[in-house]
Amino acid sequence: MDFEGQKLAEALSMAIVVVAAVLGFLYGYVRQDFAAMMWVFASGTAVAALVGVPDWPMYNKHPVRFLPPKAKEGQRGGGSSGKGGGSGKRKKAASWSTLWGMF
Amino acid sequence: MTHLHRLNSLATFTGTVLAVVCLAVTATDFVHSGEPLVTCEHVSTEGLQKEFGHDRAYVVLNLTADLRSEFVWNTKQLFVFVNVLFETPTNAASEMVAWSSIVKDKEHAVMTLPALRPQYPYAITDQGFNLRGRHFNITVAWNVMPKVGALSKRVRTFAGFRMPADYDNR
Amino acid sequence: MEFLAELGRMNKRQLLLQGLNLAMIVTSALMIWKSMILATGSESPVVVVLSGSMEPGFYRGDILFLNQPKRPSQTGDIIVFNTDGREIPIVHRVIKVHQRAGNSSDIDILTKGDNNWGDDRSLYPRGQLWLNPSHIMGVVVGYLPYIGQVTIVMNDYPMFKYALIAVLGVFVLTSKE
Repeated sequence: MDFEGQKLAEALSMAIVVVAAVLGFLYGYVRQDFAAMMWVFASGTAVAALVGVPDWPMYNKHPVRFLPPKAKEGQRGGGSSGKGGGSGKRKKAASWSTLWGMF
Repeated sequence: MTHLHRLNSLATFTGTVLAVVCLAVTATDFVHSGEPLVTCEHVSTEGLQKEFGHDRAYVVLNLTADLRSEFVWNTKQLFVFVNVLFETPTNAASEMVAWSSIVKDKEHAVMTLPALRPQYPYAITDQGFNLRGRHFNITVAWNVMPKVGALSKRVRTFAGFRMPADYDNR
Repeated sequence: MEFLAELGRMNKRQLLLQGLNLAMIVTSALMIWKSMILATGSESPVVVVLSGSMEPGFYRGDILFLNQPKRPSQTGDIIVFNTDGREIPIVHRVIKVHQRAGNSSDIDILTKGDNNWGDDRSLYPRGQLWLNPSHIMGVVVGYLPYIGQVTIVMNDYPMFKYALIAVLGVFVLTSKE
């Protein structure tokens, strides 16, 4: 899954869960049936998992574009932007400033 | 691996939503309507005797109750009980359960019990010998036990009765 | 085992930071627990039902929310109490109350589990016939089914508890958030 896809997957799953919860609550309250509410909610959660967890094709519509590798001599190696850039940023964050920033 | 991450965050989110739903459900318990029909009369007192250092008696009661309206979607069971209250020179307030029953659904929520007797271990006892001629109050109460959320108790008071003036020495 | 490799790749600052993460989580949990104790006034505001003596109302693995009683115990109340020498408190229902004249805090209480045949005298220490308010840890005000099953499993299978703590600890120490 690409980054756009991850955002979409998470948003979809969460929305489905919330909708299932609200619908389940309303249905259960009106029918005075607690079990019915739990069933609606459980089914909704299953649907949300089915929609958001596996790597469906619709989540790969914005693939990460890596820059072409630079000249071979004296370089660390290609692929340093995009995905590499992401984790590089995070490694930087684990610095002394963050340590103090936690207070 | 990222599948597990997504599953984990979805599971946490679902758990939080479920907690909110449970709060909403128990909130509906407070929007209560309907007053159940309950009556309880004292029929007679039996076995007022001395027993190992204290008085003991059994009461016979006439209880009718229609608690169907107490069953809402969040009701798991009702613990219904008859309570007698009295006062003696040594004890400012005493109360004890004379009879109880667990009602698990609407079908069993209607009771007509013209000659209810305390089942073991319920009995009217005093911490002394002060039961003779004593005045008692009767209440019927039910503890509403929910499927999720807050427990509650509702009480009805009924006409009291007086113990016999003397021990039952039969 | 890539988690352990991750730990090895960190330098001293990062290791310290991860250790701090772990400490923050532990202390936050402790703060939440302590503030619940303060708010409810009960020394154990959340308990897990360990026995079946209150069935069918409470089953093993259910969670109960407690409050410090704001009024003297009444019959019908479900209380959690501990008598001297007992390790594990009991959750049962009050069936008898005697309040002494002239001293309204001198109260004798008798309890019984809904699913038990007799009253709790056999559970009290030898010679003790009644409970008093000092034995009461709280009165049950709220209920949540099933959630405590994890605690039951961890009680019955201690290895599971250690394994769970170890796995969680590894996760926290190697996560980068």
